[in-house]
Amino acid sequence: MIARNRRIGTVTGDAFKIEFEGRVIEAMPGESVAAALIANGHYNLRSAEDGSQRGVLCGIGVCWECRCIIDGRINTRACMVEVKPGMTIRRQRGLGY
Amino acid sequence: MTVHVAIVGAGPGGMSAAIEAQRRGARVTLIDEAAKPGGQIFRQSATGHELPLGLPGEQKRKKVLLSRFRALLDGIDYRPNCTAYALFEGPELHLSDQHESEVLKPDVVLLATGVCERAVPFPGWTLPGVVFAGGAQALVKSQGLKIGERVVLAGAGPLPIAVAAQLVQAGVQVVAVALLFPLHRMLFQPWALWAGRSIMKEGWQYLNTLRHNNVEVLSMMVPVRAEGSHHIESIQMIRHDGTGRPLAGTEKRIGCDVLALNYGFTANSELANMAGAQVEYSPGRGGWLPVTDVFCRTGVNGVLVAGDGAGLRGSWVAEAEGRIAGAVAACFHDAAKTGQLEQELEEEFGLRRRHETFQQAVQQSLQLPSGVWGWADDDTVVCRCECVPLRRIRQAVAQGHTTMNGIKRNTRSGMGWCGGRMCMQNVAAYAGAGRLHADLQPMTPRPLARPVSLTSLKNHRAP
Repeated sequence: MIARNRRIGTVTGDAFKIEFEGRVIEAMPGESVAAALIANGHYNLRSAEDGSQRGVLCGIGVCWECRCIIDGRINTRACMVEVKPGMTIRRQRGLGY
Repeated sequence: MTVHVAIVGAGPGGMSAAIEAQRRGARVTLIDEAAKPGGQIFRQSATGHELPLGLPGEQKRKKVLLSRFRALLDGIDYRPNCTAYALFEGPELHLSDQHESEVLKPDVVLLATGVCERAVPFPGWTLPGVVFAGGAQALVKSQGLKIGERVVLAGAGPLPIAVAAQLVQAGVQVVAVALLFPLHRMLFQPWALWAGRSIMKEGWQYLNTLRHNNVEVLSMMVPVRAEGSHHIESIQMIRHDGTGRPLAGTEKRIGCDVLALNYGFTANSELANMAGAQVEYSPGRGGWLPVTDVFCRTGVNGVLVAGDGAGLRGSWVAEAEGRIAGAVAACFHDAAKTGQLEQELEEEFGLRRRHETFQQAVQQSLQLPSGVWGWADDDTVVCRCECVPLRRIRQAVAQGHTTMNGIKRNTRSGMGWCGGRMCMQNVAAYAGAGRLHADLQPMTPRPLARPVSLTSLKNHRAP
């Protein structure tokens, strides 16, 4: 899959691969998981207990709406975690377990 | 005797407090949730290349303060990626990082915890792609992310216009900005909040940027329905009657993939409240605010509050007040010295006083008229963490649960991951706008003020 380029300015460093919901996407060094996912057009990170879809809201770690499963760890905030090569990210459904 | 000061928050308030306290001989521990110092307004780039967005004056202040703070790092105990999750009388401050927890018993705890953003609920506001305006700004500025292909902003106060202009500068297509009140009313408002004092000129520059880039500025329009199945695809805007009430027949649908909202702020005041500090409700200034004296002291011995967390006044005041509070903290054992600080820090006290007028104007622009509480319908989720619809809150109120604690216990509003910071002001408003007076008490803050991992609690580090 070709990553949609939603990044601004000169990007330093080499892109690397991560996995979101089983699909391989590109991420850039230093960016957050949330930024990497949105850069690839993925806004939907979780379905809440009532079934509604949720994504990044506050972007600064306060609201916890972007919590998802990162490398098997549930309730991990996409906006607060720096993306690393080979990371596996999955949507969290309900409580996540 | 050396005073030990624990500061919570590394924004402009916390950083200046650390600099001032250390300069006066105190031992300083600085706790911050983020990986890098700066807080929200002086947030540093995550990817290593700083986008030159925003006002030149603000960028310069950021550079100066951050370099002064960096020069201090060898002399203080700086703890990034660390959460203060409880504060008790003593003061006794409970900390946790991802792996370990610890209890500090310093002489003084200085809270510089700032604010978070606020939105007014409407159907569809939980859809992915609906974000806060400051959050969008953070993603663009610090992550170098083009947040969407078609972005719409909506809100009250100065932030939506500032963010819209910065997004345009960054090359993001902003389709429209919907303002609760017309521009001319806004122009008499301070941009001090995010921008400092060269306000009018900078405000005009932002507006010109929007004009030159064909961004539609919709005055007196509000979002009433976000549409889309798994992601926002369009937003229904509508004119309101001046009190926030939608006027039928004035709907306008705008296609977008991101809607960025800001209808004010919520002060992160729960630690001060937990320690026993008196709080007053003041919606335009950030909700429940700790009551402080001119020296930033709460009624609780050894607990100080500085910056926006003590009432929304922007980064200039946060910096000045941080210095005041840092000095007061360092003089903790010497009451006579504290009394002299007003002369010693004449400039800081003066700046804070001068900004009082600005503060009142901001307060006015973020004062939400009663009609905005009619945008949500019965099924609209108000507490996003616990998926509590407006219907449940109305039922609880109808059953006689009118205190914040009563509504919380009966609906689960405010019991989720965010600790109520996203919903409690809105819950208060739905419960009865008439009761939004200074005496309205928040829900009782309990530990943990922030989610903490059980692993870190298990790995308790002895002092």
